[in-house]
Parts: sequence; structure tokens; C-alpha cells
Amino acid sequence: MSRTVLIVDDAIFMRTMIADILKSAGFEVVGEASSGVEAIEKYKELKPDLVTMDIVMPDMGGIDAVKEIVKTDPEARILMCSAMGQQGLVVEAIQAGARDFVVKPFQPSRVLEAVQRLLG
Amino acid sequence: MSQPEKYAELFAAEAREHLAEVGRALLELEQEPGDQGSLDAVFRSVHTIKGMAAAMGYDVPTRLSHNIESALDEMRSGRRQVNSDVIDLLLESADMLEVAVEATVAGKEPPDPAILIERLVLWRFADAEAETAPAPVDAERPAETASAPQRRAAPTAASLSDGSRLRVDISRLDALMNLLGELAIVRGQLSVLAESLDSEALQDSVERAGRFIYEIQGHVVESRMVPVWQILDRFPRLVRDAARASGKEIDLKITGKNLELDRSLLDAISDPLVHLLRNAVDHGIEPPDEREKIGKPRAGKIELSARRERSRVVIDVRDDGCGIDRNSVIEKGRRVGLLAEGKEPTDQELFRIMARPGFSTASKITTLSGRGVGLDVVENSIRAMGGSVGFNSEKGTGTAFRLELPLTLVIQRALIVEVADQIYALPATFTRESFEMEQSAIERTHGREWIDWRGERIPLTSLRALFHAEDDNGSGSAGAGDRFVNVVALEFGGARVAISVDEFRGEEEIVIKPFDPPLGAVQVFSGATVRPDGRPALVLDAGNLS
Repeated sequence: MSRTVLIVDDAIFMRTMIADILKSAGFEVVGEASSGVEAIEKYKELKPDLVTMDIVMPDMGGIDAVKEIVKTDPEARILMCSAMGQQGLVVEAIQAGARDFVVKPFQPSRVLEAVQRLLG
Repeated sequence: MSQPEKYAELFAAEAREHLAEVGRALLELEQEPGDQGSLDAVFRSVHTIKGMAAAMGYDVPTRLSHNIESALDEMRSGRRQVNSDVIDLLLESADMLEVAVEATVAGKEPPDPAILIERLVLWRFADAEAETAPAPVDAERPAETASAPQRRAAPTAASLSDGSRLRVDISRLDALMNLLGELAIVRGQLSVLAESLDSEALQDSVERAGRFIYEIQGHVVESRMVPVWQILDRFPRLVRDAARASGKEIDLKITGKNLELDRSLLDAISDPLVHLLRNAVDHGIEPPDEREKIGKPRAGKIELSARRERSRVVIDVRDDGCGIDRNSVIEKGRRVGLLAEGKEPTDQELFRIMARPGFSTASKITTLSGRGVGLDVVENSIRAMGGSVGFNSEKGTGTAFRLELPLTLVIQRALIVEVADQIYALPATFTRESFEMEQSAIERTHGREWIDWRGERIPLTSLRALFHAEDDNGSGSAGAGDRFVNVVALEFGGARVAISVDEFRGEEEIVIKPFDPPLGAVQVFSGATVRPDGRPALVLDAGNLS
């Protein structure tokens, strides 16, 4: 059975791009969320194997969402997707419970590598 | 669509919405410099654009948005304060970013952002000592993770992330609408045919087809509707810039942003509204000191309101500025021969005079300078849409313009009338009432005919006389021998007139085709339509019937 993914990003553009990368590698994108609040709801509902999480979003950013998700499921596998210049926030996200990060602009190979490692 | 094309299109659409949000939130921030919510909103949108541009490999938009973001971060962290100068710089940067995004998407070379980036960097490293930092908003924690309630979700983001919506090229809806128009005409022809064949079954089928066409038309019309905030949201920036440039203080109030209008109308009213707002700022509102002297608040008020009234849309633009000096306009109008001696013009006539191309530029009257500039443009473009412009001005207290427009451009409800065996259509935007009245109730004075309509004395024009459609017996007046006359009361831009016609032929949905009247023809037609029997009918322009 293919692994399931929840994609969290406030830009449809980014969600489409990440979804394309993951689908091409055989993952099943079971849901998308555009804010931290929505991410928490969708996580509870879908219980995905993996979450890709943007940091800057309206209605609760990614770091707070990571904290909330990890609180309900300490096993949650979350991959942070950060932009340039957010090193400090990435560290904070990892401390909050995220497992790894990739930096935008994404290299598909880098994203898949991180995902495989996380699920491996 | 190929992968890269798909991404480029998504990028362009989403970047545009975020750019609009940036512009809106920056102005809000200028109004309330301490508003963390606006600051965060600008930051988020710029940040999103940066991420998307980087993913697309668009270098200039990426670098520019990265530097805007860094400047915003200085303020979010509380290290620097928000003031008009930095808002100016940010607005300029956002404009440049928009140009860069559009150029890049179009496959063109974007302008070199180096100078602007340098200014952004210099601002960041400039000596900020002179500025007292406001209390930092939880500086320990990045604001994007702050769970402070968002004052509003960006409407753009909401509509984008809604999976049940999709974007459609407006030209497809235009094509659908035009084809439906043609289909409606064919249906009319079929209906005439069915009647002549006396086939009940055929008539039933045509009738049912007609109902479906009507329903589809309704859906297409609905799908073309977009909320007016899509253009109104640009105006605070425009007014702000104009006010700053002319040293005035202006309070702009916009209401009715959620009103929905046909997309093509929306595009078409944008320029006229820009003209009216610019005029209000440049020539309506007085400088702050002058206002204070005459006991007005320093900041002038401009109100723009949009609302729906039955089958039309009404947009008011009013200012509390100096108003228009009637006497100067009248004097000028008489001098250049636009106004007869000894005649007191109505506001509407005053507007007509001012809207004449070149009226103001030829004038040396300073209080009027530029007032007429663009008014002819405003009037022509609104009239071309089958709308009207109303005008009212009081010296010293302000000026008000009223634009009245149909809900859609292509299909309109119209009253069909007959004059001298010809069929004409009167758009429902203007018709108020049609009725039959006794000839004896028509009053004839000053060489004109008048009727009493709902307690008001309004002028009556005979279309028969207007079209010089004389009867065989030479009588110019419509059915002068009849005891009753058919009258339609019209209203446009606050003015009321009545016209007399031979017959009423009921109401119909008509498809208006643009139309260039022959030179020298009576200028009372705004277009033409094809009748169900395949014959053309002219659409009357109420604004010119007075």
C-alpha cells in the first residue's frame, strides 16, 4: 500500500508542486491544508504517514501546528518546508517535534530523499 | 497543459492576489502604524510570493521579495518603526515586484531592481536612532507563529484555497454569452416559424428550449459576476498617492464592496471612477489650511458607495470640497455658445456643458481648472455601457456624481415599443413606468409638452416627432386624434423625463449589439438588437432623450 501524505502550505502553487513531486514517487496525497488550524483538523481526520509543513501561514503558522500535532500524536512524521533565511525557525520547528526540513526552492530529489529517510 | 505552463499560470494567478493583498495591507498599516495584523499580512504575502518565485526560478521577483521581506522583518521585530516614508518605499517596491512578476510570467526581461534593492538595504541599515521603537510585540517569538486572532482572512486566499472553485478565462464566458445571445435569436425565429406552421407540438418544444436557454443565461450571467472590491480595493492607494502629491488630507470611505457586477462592466467602470476620484482630490477637496479657515475639518471626505437598485447598479462618488461655481460655468457656457442667454441650467445641463471635451482646458477660471478634464471620458464610457451619469454640486459644500449602470452588458431587460411601424427597445435600467394617459392631461407651455408623473411635472417628448415620422396627414404628434396616449416615464442620473410611443409591445430580454450610428443621425441610440422575427430593432439611449 502506498504511503499517505498531508500537504500543508498556504499557496496552492506550492501544494501543487509538492504533490506532483510526491505523486511521481508513488505517494498518495490524501489531503491538503492551507493553515495551521486546518492542518491540525486534517491530521486528526486523515492520520497520514507524513506531513509536509510550511512555516509562514495565516491562521496559525507551521511551528504552532507542529506542536499541536505532536501533542496528540508523538509519532507524527512532519517535514518542514522553509524558505531561505528561516534557519532560526527551522531549529525551533525541530525542537517542537518536526523530523527534518527542506528549503524552498525544492529540488525534487532532495524532497524525496528527506521523505524516504523519514519514513524508512 | 505542460507541467511548467501549469506552474507558471498558478504562480501568476496566486502572485497577483498576494500583490493585491500587499497593497491593501500596506495602506491599512499606514493608517494604523501599530497594527501587527496588517504588518503580518503584508509579510505573509511577500513571503509566499518569494517562495513561489524561488520555486519557479524567477530571479528578480525572488530577490526583490526577499529584500522587501527583510525590511518588513525590521518592523515586525520592533527594531524599526512604521512611518509614511517606509510605506512609500514599500509601496514602490511592491509596484516594482508586480511589474517584475508580470514581465517574468510573460517571458520578458523584468526591469533591473538593483536601485530599489539598494534603497531597501540602506533603509535597513540606516541609523534608526531617531526613531523610537514601539513596544515590540512579543519579540521573543516570530510573529507568524503568534496565535493572535487574525482580524480577517484574506478573501483572495480563501477563494483560492476553496477546492470547489476554478478560474476560467473571461473570453470563454464572453464566447458562451455571445453564443447564448445568438441561440436566443434562433429560438425566437423558431417560435415564429412554429406559430406559422400551427404545430402545437413544435411550439411546445420551442417553448421548453426557450426556458432552458433562459436558465443557462442566468447561470452564465451569475458566473460572470465578480465582487466590486476587486477594483475598489485599488482606490485607497490611488487617493492616498494623489492626496500626498497635492498636499491634501483625505479620508476615503468606501461602502458596498461586496456588490457583484458583470466582469466586463467592472473593467469598464474602473477608469471613469479613477477620473472622478482624481478630480475630487485635485479640484474638489481644498488644501487643509484653507478648509480650517472656512470651518471645515482639515481632512476632506470622499465617499464612494456602490449598491444595487432593482435591475441597475448605482455608484455614488461624493466629496465635501469646494463644489463647482455655477456662475462661472454658466458664464463660460454662454460665452462659448453652449448655453442660451437667460436660461438657468439644471445640474444635469451644467454637467453636460462641463463634460464637453476641452471645456475646462479652454478656460482661465482657476476654480474650474481641470474640472472638466476627464468628465467627457467618464460620460462617454458610462453611456457606452448603457448607463448614465448624474451630477449635483453645491458651491462650498461639495460635489456628487452618480453612475447608474445595467447589471450586465450583453443581455438586458428592455421594454419594447413601437413608433411609426418601427420597433425600438428601451433598457429597463431607465424605464420607471409605462402607462396610458388622456391627451387632455398633457400640458403645453413654452413650446414643450409636460405631464404630471407621481406629483412631479416632467417634460414629455414624442418619439414620433423626434424621429420626424410624420403621418400621411402631416400631423407630427403621435396619434393626435386619439383620446389616449402611451407614455413611458424614464429616469437617469436623477433626471426624469417621459416619452410617448405608439404601442407597447411588452418586456423582453434583448441581446445588445454595439452600434455605430451613421453620421448625422439622431444621437439617441446606444445599440441595436435582433428581434425574434429576425428584424433589427434600435436600442434607445435614455440619456439623450431629454
